[in-house]
Amino acid sequence: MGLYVLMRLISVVPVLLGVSILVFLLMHLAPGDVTSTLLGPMASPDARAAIRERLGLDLSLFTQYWTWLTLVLQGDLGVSWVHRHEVADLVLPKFFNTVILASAAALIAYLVGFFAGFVAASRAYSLSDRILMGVMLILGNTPLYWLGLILVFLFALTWRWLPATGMVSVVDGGGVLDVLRHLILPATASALPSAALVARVTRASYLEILNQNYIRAARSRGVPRGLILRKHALRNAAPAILTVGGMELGYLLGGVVFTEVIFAWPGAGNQLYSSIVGRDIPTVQGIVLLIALAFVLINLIVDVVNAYVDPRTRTALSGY
Amino acid sequence: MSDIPGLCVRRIKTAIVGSVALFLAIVSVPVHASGTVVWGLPVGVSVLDPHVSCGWMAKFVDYQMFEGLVEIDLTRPEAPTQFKGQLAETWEISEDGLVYTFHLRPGVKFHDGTSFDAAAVKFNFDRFLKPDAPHYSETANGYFAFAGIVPLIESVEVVDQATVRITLNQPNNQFLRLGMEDCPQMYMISPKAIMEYGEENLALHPVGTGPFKFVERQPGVKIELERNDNYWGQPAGPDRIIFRELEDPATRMNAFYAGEINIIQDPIWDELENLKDEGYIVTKNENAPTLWYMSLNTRNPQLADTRVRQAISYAINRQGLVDEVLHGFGRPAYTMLNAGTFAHDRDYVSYPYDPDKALELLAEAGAENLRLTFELPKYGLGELIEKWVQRDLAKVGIEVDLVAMEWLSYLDRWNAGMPPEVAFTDMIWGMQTPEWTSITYRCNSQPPNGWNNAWACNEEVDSLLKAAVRTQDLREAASLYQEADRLMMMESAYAPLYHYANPIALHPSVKGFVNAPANWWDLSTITIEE
Repeated sequence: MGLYVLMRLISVVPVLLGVSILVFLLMHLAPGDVTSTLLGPMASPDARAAIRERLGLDLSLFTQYWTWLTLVLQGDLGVSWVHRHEVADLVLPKFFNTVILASAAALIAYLVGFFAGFVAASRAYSLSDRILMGVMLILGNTPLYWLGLILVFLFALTWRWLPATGMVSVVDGGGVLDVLRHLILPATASALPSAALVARVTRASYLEILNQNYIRAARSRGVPRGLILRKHALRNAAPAILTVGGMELGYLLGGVVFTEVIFAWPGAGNQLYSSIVGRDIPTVQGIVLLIALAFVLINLIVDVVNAYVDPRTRTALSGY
Repeated sequence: MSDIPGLCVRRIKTAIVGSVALFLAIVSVPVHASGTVVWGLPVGVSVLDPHVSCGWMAKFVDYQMFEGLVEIDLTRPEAPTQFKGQLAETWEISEDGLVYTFHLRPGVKFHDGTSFDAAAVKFNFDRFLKPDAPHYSETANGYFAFAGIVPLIESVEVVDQATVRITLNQPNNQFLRLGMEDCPQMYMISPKAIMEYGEENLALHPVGTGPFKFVERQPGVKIELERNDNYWGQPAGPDRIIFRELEDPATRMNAFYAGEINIIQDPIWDELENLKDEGYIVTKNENAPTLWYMSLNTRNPQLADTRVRQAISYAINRQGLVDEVLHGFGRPAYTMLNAGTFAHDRDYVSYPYDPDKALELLAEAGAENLRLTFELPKYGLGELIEKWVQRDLAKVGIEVDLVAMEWLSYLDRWNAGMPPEVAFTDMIWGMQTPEWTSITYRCNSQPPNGWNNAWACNEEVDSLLKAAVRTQDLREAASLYQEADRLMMMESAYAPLYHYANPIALHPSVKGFVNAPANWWDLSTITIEE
C-alpha cells in the first residue's frame, strides 16, 4: 500500500508539469497582454517595452517557463505582475478560502445527497422516491448563477437573514460565526448540483446492493430492515458513493468560481478569473498549480480510503 | 410502516433541531454600524503608487491619501472644476507662461511623520526627471513622458524651504491640469517611503499627506483607509473608508440592497428608477468628463466617403439612447469636447437625429448595401449601447455585425488602430483638459503614438490645437479648441454618443457627498448619520 501511495505521488509530478506548460502556453497564445492592465489605455510604446523588459516578457517562451519552473522548485511562485504581491502571499489565503467554501459545499452535498438517495432507495419506485429524485434533478440542473441570485434575493434582500456578499463583514467583521453566516448561501448554491449527483449515485448503488442475494437472505432470516440498510448495504454501496464524493470535492475546488463571483467570496476562483482577464501569468500559474495539486491529492485520498473500505480494492492493491 | 428506522428518524430530528438552532444563532449576529463609508467600486484598482499608476479607480483611492501642489476642487458640483491649493498655499505663473512658482503650506507632515517641504517636492520630481537620482524610476518617467509632462519641464528648483520653481520650455496653459489626471498622478509621496520600500514595494505602503491614511489592502477584496487625525486641514468626516472591488454588476447591486456597502458607483442602469422608489439617493453629474464615442474608420473602404460617415452620425438617435438605455443618466453628445472641460459648448449640436438626411447623404454618396463590422468590448451589461446603434443604422439600411471581445483583447486592437476591414470601435473615457482632443485627434496621435485609431488627420485641426494650448488667454484657448472641434465633427471620423452622468447611489444615512464633475470624488466631506 505504501508503495502504491508513493507511486501515485510520483505520478503527480508529470501531471502538474503538463498542466503548468499547457496553462503557460495558453496564456501566451491569448490576445492582449499585461502591459495594458498595468499601464492602461494611455501607455506609450516605450513604457510598454520597459514593463515587458522588467517582467522578462522580452525573453523566449522557453526561458520564461524555465525561469518560472526553477523558482517554483525552490518554493518561490514569483510576484504577481498586477498586484506586486508575492504570488504565494496572494494566492494561499484565497485558496484556503476556496477550500472552506468547497468543503462546506461538499459537506452539504454529501449530507443532502446521501440522505435523499438513501430515502429514495429505501422507498424505491414509490411516489416519494419520484418526487425526491425529481426535486434533486431540478435543483441539480438549475443554472448556478440564477440559483445564487434567487438565494440572495430571498435570504439576504427579502428576509435579511443572511449577508449577500463577502466572507466576513467588511466593517468590524471576523470570527467563526461571522464566516458561517457568510458561508451558508454560497455553500448551498454550490452544493446543489453535487448533491443531485450524490443522490443519484447513492440511490443507484443502494438499489443494486438491495437486490443482491445476501440481502434477500438476511431479510429472510428476519434481520431488521434498518440494520440491513445501515450495516449490510452501506459498506458495499460506499465505494461508488465515496468515489463520486471525492470527485465532487475536487470539482468544487476548481468549480466554485461562479459562486465566488456572485457572492464576492474572496477565493482562488475569483482571483483566477480576474488574473486571467488581467493576463497576470504568475498568479494564474500559481492558482492552477494549487487546484491541480489539490485535485490529484483528493483523488489519491479517495482511492486510499476506498481501499480501506472495500476489501476488493485492498486485494487488488496488495501487489504493491 | 416507515422504511426508515426509528433511531435514524430520531437522529434526523435532532440534526434538524440542531441546525435550526445554529442557524438562528448565526443570523442573530448583529451587523455593526459605524462612521465607515463602504464604497462599491465597479472595476478593480491598479497599483497604489501614483507615479506609476493608471486608471480612474486608482486615482480615486489615491485622491483620498495623497495630495498635489495644486488639485481640482471636488467639493463643488459645477463644471468646469476650479483649482485649489493643496500642498501649495498659493502659486504664480509668469506672464510668458513659462515659470510656475509654488509657495508651500508650512507645517505639513506625511503620514509617516516626516516633514513636507521644497526638498520633498524636488525629490518627487526627480523620481521621473533625473536619471542619475538614486530613486529614479524609468517606469515613472515613461508615464509622465506620455502624459506630456516630461517634455515640458525645463527645470525644478528649490528656491527656499517653502518655495519651489518649475520652469517649462514652452508655454502650456494645461500644464497644471495634465498633472491632475489619473495617468499618472502628480502627487507628493513621502521621500522616506520611496527610499525605504523601493519601486517594487512602494505601492503596498502608500504614504502621502492626505486626509486619509492607508490601513490595508486585500487584493480583489478591499482597500481600507482611516482618518488622518494629524491632517493639516479640515479633518475628514468618516472614520474609515473601505473600497470594495465588486466588478459583477448584479453582485454590486445585491451588496448595496443588503446594506453591505453604503455607496454604489455605476448601479445597473435598469435599477436606477427602482433605487429612487426604494428611498435611496441617486446622484448624477451631467458635466462629468466622461464621453462615450465611436471611432469611424477612415481607412475602411465603405467609410472613405465623408458623407457616409456623416450619414451614420445623423442616423443615431442619441436622445432616445439616453432616455431608454441610460434612463436619463447622461446627455446626448454632439462634440468631442466633453462636458467636463472649460471649452465645452453645451449648445453646439453637430448631428441632430435626422434619418432622412442620413438616407439623402447615403444616396448622394452612392452607398448601397453597406455591411459594417463593429468591434466592441464585453462590459457586462449586454452591449446595450452598440445594439442601439446597430438598430438605428438598420433603419437607414446599414447592416452592422457586432464582434464583442474580452477587455484586454479589445484594448490591444483598439490601441493598434482599426484595420481596414473594421468599421467601428467604441470607448468611454475623457479628461478634464480639452487637450484630450489632441491625444485623440492630432495627425501624430495615430497609433502607435496615440489613440487616433480612426486614422483621422487634418493639418488645420493640428495647428488650431497647437495654438490653443500655447496661448495664456483661456477664453481664446476655449474658442480655438471649439473651432478645432467643429472641423473634427465635419470630418466625422468620430461619433460622440453621450456624456455619461456618473450615477452614484447613496444609502439615506450618507450625507454631504458631492458628485463632482470628475471620475473620482472627495470622500472627506461625507458624514454618516445613523
